[in-house]
Amino acid sequence: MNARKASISGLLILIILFLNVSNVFAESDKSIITVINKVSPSVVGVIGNIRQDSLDYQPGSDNMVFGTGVIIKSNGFIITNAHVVLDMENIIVVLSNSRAYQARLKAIDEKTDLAMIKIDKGGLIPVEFGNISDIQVGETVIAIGTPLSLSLRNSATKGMISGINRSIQSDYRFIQSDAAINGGNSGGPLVNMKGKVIGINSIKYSGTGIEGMSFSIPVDTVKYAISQFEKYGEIKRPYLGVTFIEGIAARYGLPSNEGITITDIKKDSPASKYRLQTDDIITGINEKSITTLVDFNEAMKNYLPGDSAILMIKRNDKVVKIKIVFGSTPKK
Amino acid sequence: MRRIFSFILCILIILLIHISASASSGTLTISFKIGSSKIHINSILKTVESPYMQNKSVFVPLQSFLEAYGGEVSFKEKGKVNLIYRDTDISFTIGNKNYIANEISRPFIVAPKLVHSILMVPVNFLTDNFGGKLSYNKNNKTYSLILEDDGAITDFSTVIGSISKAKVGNSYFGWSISIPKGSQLVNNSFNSKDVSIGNDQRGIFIDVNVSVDEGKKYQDFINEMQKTSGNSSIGDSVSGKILDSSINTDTSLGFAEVLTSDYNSGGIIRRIFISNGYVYKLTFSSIKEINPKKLKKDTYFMSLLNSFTLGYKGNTKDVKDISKVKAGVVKFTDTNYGFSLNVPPEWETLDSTDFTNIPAIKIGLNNKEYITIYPEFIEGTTDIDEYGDTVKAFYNVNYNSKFYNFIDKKTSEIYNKKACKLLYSIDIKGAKSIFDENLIIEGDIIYHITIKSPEASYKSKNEIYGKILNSINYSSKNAESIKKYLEGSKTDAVMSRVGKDDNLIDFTEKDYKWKIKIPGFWLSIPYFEDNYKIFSDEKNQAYMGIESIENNSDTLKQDDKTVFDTLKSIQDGKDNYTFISKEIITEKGTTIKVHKYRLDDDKTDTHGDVIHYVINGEKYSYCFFYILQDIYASEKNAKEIKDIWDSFTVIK
Repeated sequence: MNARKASISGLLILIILFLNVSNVFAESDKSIITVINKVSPSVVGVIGNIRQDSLDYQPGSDNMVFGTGVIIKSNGFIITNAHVVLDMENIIVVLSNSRAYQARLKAIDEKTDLAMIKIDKGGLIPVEFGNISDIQVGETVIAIGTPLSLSLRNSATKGMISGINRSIQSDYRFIQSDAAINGGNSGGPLVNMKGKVIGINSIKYSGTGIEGMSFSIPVDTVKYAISQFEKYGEIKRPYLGVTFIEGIAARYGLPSNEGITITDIKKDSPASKYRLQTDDIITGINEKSITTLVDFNEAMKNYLPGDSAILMIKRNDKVVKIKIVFGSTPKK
Repeated sequence: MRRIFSFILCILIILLIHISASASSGTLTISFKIGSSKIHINSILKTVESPYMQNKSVFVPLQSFLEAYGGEVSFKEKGKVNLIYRDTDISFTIGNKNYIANEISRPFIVAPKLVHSILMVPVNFLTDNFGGKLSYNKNNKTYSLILEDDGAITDFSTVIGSISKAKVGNSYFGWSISIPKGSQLVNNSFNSKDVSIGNDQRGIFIDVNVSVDEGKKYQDFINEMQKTSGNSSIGDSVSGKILDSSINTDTSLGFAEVLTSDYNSGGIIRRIFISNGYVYKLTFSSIKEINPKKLKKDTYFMSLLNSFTLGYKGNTKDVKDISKVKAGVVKFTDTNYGFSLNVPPEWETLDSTDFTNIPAIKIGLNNKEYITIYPEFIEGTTDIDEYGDTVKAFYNVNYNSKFYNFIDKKTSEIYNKKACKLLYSIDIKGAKSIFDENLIIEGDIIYHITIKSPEASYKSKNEIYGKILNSINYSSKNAESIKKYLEGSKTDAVMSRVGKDDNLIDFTEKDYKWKIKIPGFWLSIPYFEDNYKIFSDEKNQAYMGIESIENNSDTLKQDDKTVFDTLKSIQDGKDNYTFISKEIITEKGTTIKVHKYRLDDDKTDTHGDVIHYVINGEKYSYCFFYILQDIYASEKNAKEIKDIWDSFTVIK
């Protein structure tokens, strides 16, 4: 009887030991591993050739482009950077399980640097998006992608959010972090420790040789682009027909209530129709304060061509409110 | 005891077995029961509109099932459905008896139905159009829709250029060659005249270049290579040092062979074949062996080299045909202006640089037969016919009537757009060419689309030229950036003008003590040496300059060609220059030496006299030089340059 009990106990101990995976990692490493394991199946490699009529085509070179993408729907819709797939022919997507599929371009927008491609494969695991309010300076984030070579598919780099501002060239707000981003993992997700995607990495805005400064397209811009792509196949931006400049303080990131100044009004544009004038300073749209160009572009995400809005304008030291109806960007 | 032990062991075994995720194979299985809203897609439970049976047809929810396949279902307009899965594109209107699959109308065997606003289709509709097999298990009353082939790619050759076949060939130009296994097609020009195959692992690189036979002999090619060998500044130069050359006439297909060695490319063996109106240049290089003589003893290397044959016509099993020729033409797409056109495969891109630095599209056989597309920023032009008159008037005033003859002006059409056609001829050095110039407006840009052809063949090739013009397509994708670029170039030109308007201005060079009167539209071209002043008239491609050298006892004794860089850089018989004469004249109250050269560059189509006037002043000596090409040497232009020279005055 005692021998029997000892055998059963021994077996049970073995089972318990087996079930408790030995804790060789620190708690934070385990979290990172968990996050990477959770998100990786939704991260894909994107590869293709540059079209011969592209300005980037180089005779004598293999003209191959690598990037990363993120599965957003189980039936094969994928988000990546516009610059990865722009001018790409023969787009191929490689899943985390090594299977590869032909992809087609569904929508592209260079201003946000986002594009949607589609593979005809079902049963995929889409990512979970976070919210812009989830993003906090100082939080740990992970950039997952296929850096440099497809044989390093789904590699991950860790970093910290340094700020939510813009890079030098962008029209929209960007997340700045120090998670290393390079040509191969551009288009891939920036993930928080809850395993939610809070940004899409962009080498276009990260540049090269600037260590510790990577830029990712924040989740609200990504969601905006996806919504527009799904409804319209493009981003329909409201059109005013003006050129703006920012106030000097705003350019330096200093607190300012100066607004943005109109420097040019296009002929036959909504701006000319509603008699906006050069040197008018736009300080708000529908009660929302505008101090920078990024503020304006971010505000425009809430409108479509044909929508109306009330502009708060400072004109010759007087404040006026002008109701305008946005037009559509003229086709070239 | 044994039973308990076995039971626990089984649990352990079960726990020990790691059940991996199902995604490693591509098979899709959708399991469902009639009347149940719960289905399993590869074991993952999903709730959908319940499948049902009607008149022996099993109906399933279209969107849920096709999206499980990986397809796309969209309802863009009310009642209209569009489905895409791999190569199949289907559209239909709910209630119609037919649907369109890849542009072909097909009847619904059983019509789709809306149930609780969900579109239900017979499962056959899915399997017939998108694949899959339906089976039924009587025991558990479960249907299984299995899609085995999910379209996964295993052949990446279209992306990485890998060539899986043992040989590569070009069925239009008629050649084929064996290649090492694992090679990549690194380059294939738009006309497939220039092909490069690389094999990184073996370090072997193969280039095949085809050009039209212009009557040169094997020895001519060898001589040319020897002249340019190692001089990368010369176009078409041979890299590396030539070690040996020979002409082989032993085989049925003779060839010239040149062995070179290059630090970067390794050992190189080049062979030239002349056959069937073409010249084939085959270049084999090995980065693993720098000595080509040793490569000649390498059995494998030589077996590949010797496998090059002519006469390949396509449709051979073990040969990958890389020809891009379709219906006797190749498509050229330009990266700048948005044009695409079909041209003969023998045509290639030609150098299009000229004084204006605005790049032009130029494709042709050579400088005697080509098409060029050139933009001009002309804001506010709306009537192409009127603009045609402006261009005609410009030619009449600025082209030398000795060489230029206007033929006709008429309306034409290019890519369904109204164009203005100007026909004229230019006859220089006994080679008369017809210019078929078509003007077309795109926004603020006028495109000059011009075919140049030798007069002798213009009529007989009229059909070919018509087909080229008719094949032109235009995309305005880059129109905004092109306009900005041209506007910028115009602004730069405006900033470089010597005068605000076109009237004569007094241009004085105080440091070097000379002055001239020059029309305001001439441009002052910056030069890194301040003793040089260069001017150009872009529209007439005239070029003028003044070099000033401070006098000393040496310079006053030396030959002009030693003193002045302008003259030093021109050598008789080199770079298409020919010495014509040197004479002494008396003008401006002093003795002036006149050096006359002739420039005849067939490659750039530049023909004209280059004149240098050397005049000694008190402190400085000057070389006033100009070139006005023959075609632009109209009475007006010739007088203009002469007037500028006449106005040249040394300031005391």
